[in-house]
Amino acid sequence: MVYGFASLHPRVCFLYFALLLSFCMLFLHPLLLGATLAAVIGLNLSLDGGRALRRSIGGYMILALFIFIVNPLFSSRGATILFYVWDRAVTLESVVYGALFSVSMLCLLIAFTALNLVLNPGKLLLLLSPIAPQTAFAVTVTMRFVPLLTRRLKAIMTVQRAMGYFTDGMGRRRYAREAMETLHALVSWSLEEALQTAASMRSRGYGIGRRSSADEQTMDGRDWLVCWVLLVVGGNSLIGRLMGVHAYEVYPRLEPLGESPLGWLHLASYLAFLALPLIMNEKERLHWRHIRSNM
Amino acid sequence: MASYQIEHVNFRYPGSEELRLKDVSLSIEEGEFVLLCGPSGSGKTTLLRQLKREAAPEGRLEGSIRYDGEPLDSLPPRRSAEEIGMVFQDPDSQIVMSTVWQELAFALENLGYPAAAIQRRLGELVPFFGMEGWLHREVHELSGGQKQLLNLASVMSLRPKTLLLDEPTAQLDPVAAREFIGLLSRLNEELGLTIVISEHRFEDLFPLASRVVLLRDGRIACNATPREAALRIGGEGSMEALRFLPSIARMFAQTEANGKSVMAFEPEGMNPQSTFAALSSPARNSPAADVPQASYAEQEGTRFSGEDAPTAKGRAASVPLTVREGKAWLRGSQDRLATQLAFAGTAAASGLSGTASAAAGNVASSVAGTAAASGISGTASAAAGNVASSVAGTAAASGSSGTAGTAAGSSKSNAPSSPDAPALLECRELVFAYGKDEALVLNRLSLEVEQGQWMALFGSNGAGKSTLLQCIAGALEPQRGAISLGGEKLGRRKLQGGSEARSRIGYVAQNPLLYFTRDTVGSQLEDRLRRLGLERSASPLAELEELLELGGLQDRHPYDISGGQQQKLALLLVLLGQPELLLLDEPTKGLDPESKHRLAGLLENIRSKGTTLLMVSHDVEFAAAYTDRCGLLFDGQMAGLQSTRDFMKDNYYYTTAVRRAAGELLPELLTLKDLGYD
Repeated sequence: MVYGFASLHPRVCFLYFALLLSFCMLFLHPLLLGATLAAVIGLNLSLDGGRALRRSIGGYMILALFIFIVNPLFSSRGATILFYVWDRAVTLESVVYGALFSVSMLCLLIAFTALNLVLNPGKLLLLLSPIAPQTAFAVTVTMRFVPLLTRRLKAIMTVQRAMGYFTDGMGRRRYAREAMETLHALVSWSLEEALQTAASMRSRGYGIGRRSSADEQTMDGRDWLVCWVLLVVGGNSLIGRLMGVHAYEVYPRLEPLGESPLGWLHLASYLAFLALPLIMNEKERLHWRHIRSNM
Repeated sequence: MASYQIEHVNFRYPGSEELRLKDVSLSIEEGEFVLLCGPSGSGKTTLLRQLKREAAPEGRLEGSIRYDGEPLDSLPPRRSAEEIGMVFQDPDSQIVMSTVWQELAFALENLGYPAAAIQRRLGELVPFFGMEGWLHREVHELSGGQKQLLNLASVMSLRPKTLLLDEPTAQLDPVAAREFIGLLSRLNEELGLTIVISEHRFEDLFPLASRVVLLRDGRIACNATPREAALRIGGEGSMEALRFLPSIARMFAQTEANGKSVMAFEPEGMNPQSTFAALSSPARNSPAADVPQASYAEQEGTRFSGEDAPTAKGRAASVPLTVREGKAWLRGSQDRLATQLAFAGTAAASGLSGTASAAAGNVASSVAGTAAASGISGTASAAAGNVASSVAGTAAASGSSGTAGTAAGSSKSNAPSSPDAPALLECRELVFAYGKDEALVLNRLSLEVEQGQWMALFGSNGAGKSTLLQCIAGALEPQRGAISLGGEKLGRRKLQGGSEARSRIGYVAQNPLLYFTRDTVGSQLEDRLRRLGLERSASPLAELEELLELGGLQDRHPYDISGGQQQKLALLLVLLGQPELLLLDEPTKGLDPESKHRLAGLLENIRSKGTTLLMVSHDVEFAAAYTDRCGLLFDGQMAGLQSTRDFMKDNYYYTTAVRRAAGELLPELLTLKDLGYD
């Protein structure tokens, strides 16, 4: 995705996800948790139509279910006893706590799925390069080796097949022995190539001074705007939570869900925070749809 | 101001007493385009690498190398990195980063340029190299030609004043190579960049270069403008040197040297005989070629034309280097060449010895032709093997197709005749794609190769040449279609168990390094014998080792022997299996003309022992000179499968330079062999 939220400067995206992930962990208030869950699912849907989420949601659900079931079985805290299992009291509070905790977990995992979509490895590198150019460089060089070695391996195996060393019906032991030969050839070949790479790097001035980074993408006006909005609404939510607003207590007895005037303000700013990427993406989508229908 | 002043440089590698560079003195002026040529191991790369401090090999250097008046050693590192750029041979191993954009910025980042300055430079660089379309691609998605272009661009991002290139197009296909070389000429002409390039693909470079330096055994054997070099080498008459000329220039030089006759092109009032002697004598007398350095300074301005210079230069101006110039020259000497062409053909056909020269009348002067006809090689400058060429001439004269001689030296016509010979290999309607959603590489391709033939397949990059060979070799499995060898259908890989039929096919890949899994040549060979279940004494190892000149390498690491030896070792490993059909993937890639010639002799020899050869190649000149049949792979299918002569004659682009020049003037002239030149 090249437009909308994902097109923001990686630093802004990073700030957003840092806040979002900490909120997932901080909030236990059912209302806020419900909103978070809806928002992170919505974010995934608007990013790639939920394709990445669909692949992993099964595992997440199992984990959440596990927490939901196990918590009341192991924790007997709380005043309202529902029934007994193996002489242990199952309380309403621990059931609710298990539910809230599993939803919180679910939010965290789904938020991570969205993070992977927005901050792909290239962008993470962009984030890293101004701070640690050497590390970023090492990572880039290493990343090139994965497809490179795969291709070399394939080339060697092609030759070995043609020589009749690899056949489909060969035994496991023989296969392992042949694979060792392949690896041996791969390592020698790669070392040989590495010597040439080194000469080429030296020729282009590698190692004569401190490296700079060409990847210094500057933050544009929109980035700053979003950044400020994030700082206001996100900061408000964070400070509010630290000051005790929406600090929901399950034990010893479920707290009623009453809202104070301050609570409403806090809720509003948190909802604004959650809605921000969705609004950005949808605005862009509508814009394109509008253009298309006008053509 | 001279870019480089190299004075009396000797160089030896550590642990070796042998001098790799012997008393090399060379001055390279700013803005020159210097072509270094010479056989492999002549010290081209060694010399070139001495000119770039960061790439200079370990070893002992005597003499001095000055860059811009300063000793190269005392150049500040930053200046050395920025002003002297170097591009190496292998496109892949030079690349460091994973995307094109990152690679372009790499050099600038090393020197600490700020991001804005990098952006600015790249903004200028990228359009110059036409890289807009693939700026954000991953490096591994690029073709070899694009990769090498990227390497050049990355070096150019530092705005160097001197560009050193070590066989940059050796791994590229001809189209990509020509594009690359065209770019070099632009850099030289538009930016005044000094270029020093070592290369075997001199057909394209000769006309562009302002100076040609021929190295032999670590010495400078010739150092002159391209046209003068052509004359001098032609006059010297040594076959090894002649092979380093573009075929058009070589045709001129050899015809000149043989005929020693006045041509229509001759500037008037000049005695060619004496001029020629004057020209060729210095080179002959001192192979070290102490070509007067001073003459370079004065001829700077008139490098190409040399009109105002005395006779020698005037004569040099008439040397044709390109097809266009070749055409003009051919028109002037058409009659003479026509008789020589007919003579080379008929003399060989009738098998006459000495008397042939009498019958030939006015062309008796063509010594090479006579030698070829009479079979007394050695007396003339032509080397052994020209009998085969005269047989090719016969074939052309008698009109029969595709019957070049089998082995060098055997003039009896034992070549297979095409119509009756049984097909050894038969591919029927092969279909192959690398993935479900990917384009078909082979699309119902059918092919027959007859017993004892040497067939060449051409095709652009990605036309499926290598894929076809790998399918035949059994490394890939076509989705549809059948391959049969000698009437026996080759089964699917998993069914064949001992892979009997497949072992009758040998496959030599482009890169010999893929074959080396052991630490010494000896154990590599042992391993191969063991796998084949052969006893050393019962195997053809000794015989093959002798044939391929690979004796005495038992204890060396396969990576430490020369590139040519590596290739021959891979060939040896394959040949130990005694294949009936040998598949060769670009066997001439990166070889110098001398090695190519020897490889051709070797392959002829292998063929004469009953092995059928199928090669894919880009090397039109090589295929035209040695193969029986040629075909063109296009769009996954075989387009045109004809005898080599018909194929080359039918083609407009894909044919030899000599053919392109001779064209309708001398329709039977395809290669220099047709004129009796080896």
